[in-house]
Amino acid sequence: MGRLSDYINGAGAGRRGTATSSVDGIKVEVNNALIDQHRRAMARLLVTDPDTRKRLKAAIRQEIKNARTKTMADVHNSLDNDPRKAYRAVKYSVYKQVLGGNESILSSRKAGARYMLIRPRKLDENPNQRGGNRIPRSDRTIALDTYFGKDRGFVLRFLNSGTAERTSKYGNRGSIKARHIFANSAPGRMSAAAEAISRAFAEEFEAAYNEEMKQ
Amino acid sequence: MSNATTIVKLTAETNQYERNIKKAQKTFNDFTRSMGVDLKKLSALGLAIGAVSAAVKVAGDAFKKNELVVDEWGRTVQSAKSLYSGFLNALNTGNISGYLRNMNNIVSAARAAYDAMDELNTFNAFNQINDMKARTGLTEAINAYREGTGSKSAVEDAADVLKDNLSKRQFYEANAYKKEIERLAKDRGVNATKLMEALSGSYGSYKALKELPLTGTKTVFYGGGMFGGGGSYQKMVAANERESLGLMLRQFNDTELRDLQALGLQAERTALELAQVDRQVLRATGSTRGGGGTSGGASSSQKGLTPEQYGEWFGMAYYTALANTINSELKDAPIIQEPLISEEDLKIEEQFTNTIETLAERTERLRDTWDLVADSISTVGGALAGLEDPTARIAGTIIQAVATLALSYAEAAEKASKLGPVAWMAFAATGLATFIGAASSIKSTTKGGFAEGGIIPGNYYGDQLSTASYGLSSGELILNRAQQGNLASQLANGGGRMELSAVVTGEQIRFVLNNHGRRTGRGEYIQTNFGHVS
Repeated sequence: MGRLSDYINGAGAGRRGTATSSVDGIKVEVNNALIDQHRRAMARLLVTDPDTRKRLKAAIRQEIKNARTKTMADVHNSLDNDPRKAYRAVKYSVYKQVLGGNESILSSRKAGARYMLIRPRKLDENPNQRGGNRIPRSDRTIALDTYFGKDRGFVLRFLNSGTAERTSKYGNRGSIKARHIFANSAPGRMSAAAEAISRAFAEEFEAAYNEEMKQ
Repeated sequence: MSNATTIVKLTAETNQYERNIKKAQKTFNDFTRSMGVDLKKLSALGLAIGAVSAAVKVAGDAFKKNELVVDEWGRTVQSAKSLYSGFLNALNTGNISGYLRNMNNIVSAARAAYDAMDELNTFNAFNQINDMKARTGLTEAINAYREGTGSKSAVEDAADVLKDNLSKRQFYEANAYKKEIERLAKDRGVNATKLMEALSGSYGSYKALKELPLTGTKTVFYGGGMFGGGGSYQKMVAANERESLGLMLRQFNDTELRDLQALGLQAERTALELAQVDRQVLRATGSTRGGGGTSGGASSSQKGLTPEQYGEWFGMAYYTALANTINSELKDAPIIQEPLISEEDLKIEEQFTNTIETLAERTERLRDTWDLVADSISTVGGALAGLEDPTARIAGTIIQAVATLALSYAEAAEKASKLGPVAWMAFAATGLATFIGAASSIKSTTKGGFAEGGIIPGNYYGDQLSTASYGLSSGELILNRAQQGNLASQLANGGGRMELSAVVTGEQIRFVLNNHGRRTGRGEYIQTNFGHVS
């Protein structure tokens, strides 16, 4: 960290300037620059410092991304049959204004957003085709085309939250029992992410402090 | 669709952390000014640090030449000594933040105490001859009066000269005692008036007060934070004034209190000497000037103390009463033509003489110990000769202590607990290494036992253990078991009982975890240990 020689007549005394005083012909040079350096380094520890904030957000992004990966794996393992890969509906985001983020299975807030799962009509891709489809459709195509949901999360939300008993003009349609897939996994993963973020914060603060001291 | 969690939010609450960082910054900045002796002032003392022995000798010679610099050095060392004592006390009580806030007052009181003692020593040094002349003059005047060659007014004039000297000495002694009380009180963060009351004898012997058990109780609650829990326990507190004073006295070791009383006894002895002068004149001439005279008191023309001032300054009720008794005896003493020395008078005189001699002996014996500590630190010339450059070591350590600001201590803490520079900053805010550095150097030049964990020798009648026996070097600190326990627990817990103005190590950054269903949300706080990497 620092030794007497760093502060008095030591390294850095020439680089940063010193205070000199003499009494009765006895001189001593005092280096206040190192103390100022520590002050600047302490300023880097503040969350409001732009560079530090950037590092912290990067750490948050990494840990929430890891949490999302694990939550997705948990959801995938809990679904026996998932042809449309609904487990990929788990999404994450990092907040801009505050230090934090979330993971969710909610849909996009923007109206009219389209996702990969919305397949365009075949004739749009083949405008010169006349007549019906002679190419046999694969099982995968059938599975995808018979679903017109806006995103994978649409299905996952039903499986996660369940539905109430529903009756239509055609009769009783029953209900979907809630499986709480997301609820059983996500909070635990995010708690673990908080611990990891805390450790990452400590490392980032340490790195920022050392970086300032090396200058 | 039933409610179920569909989004989990995580946000970090860093407001408290930011506040603590800013507090640490402020403490860091204030610390360089708090001692009252910052780097520039120390450099103005003209010390060459880390120089070869020749340069150190030059510094010593400069000190010896310049009286003002010697005094400034003495004040600086006294300040460092007081700060170290206060630091040890803060370790014991856990009130580090209170100690840091009070550092300016500690330094001011230490410097005032040094000045008061310096004035007393200077007066004693230069007044010895005058005192001897005055006593001789009085004796000769009395003898001349008895032989018929001298006059009564000559006796009274000679007595006035002696009493004037004694009154001045008493004033300096009383002032030194008062300043020393204030210095010790500031060191320990206690009230000086209460300390004086406790030592006055009004509440009995101070030893008995120290051993008085606490009989009051107080219920202390501790909370469990966000997750509930907590409880309460009964804490013993002082139930009355005597117990409160006893609790305060426990912060002082017996040596300090004995030395303090010895200092006070000096003025007491002088007061008795003053009374004896009046009795001597009364016995010789049958009366004293002004009819009543004074005991330890001061007439309007003298610079001494009235019994009321005595009672106020020393609070020694017994001696106040004694002074009043003497006063009343002298006031009511009849004016007689021939001196009458009754058996009773002789007995009283003998009693006073014995008391003065006993007090003088005790004062000298107890003062030896004080001188042992004071000489080893304050005398620059003596420190240079013989020992291993102690001036450079002490001076260098004090300057180093101010300059490094806990850095060396933080390194040791960093290695011990594997925490990073962020944790170091918490210790930097306390300035612990500053005083450890100053303390170890001052300790290495003192002799005595370390039972108290401080620089005051613990056993001056028995073995005198020097640091050479223990092979101590600069940077090491002697702590007694209780202080070690306090410091160790503070290191281990990153906080514990230590009331720091800024706590970074162990400070918890709180994460708020909110689980939201479509319509309802359930939020919870997650508190993680920041800085502890397992």
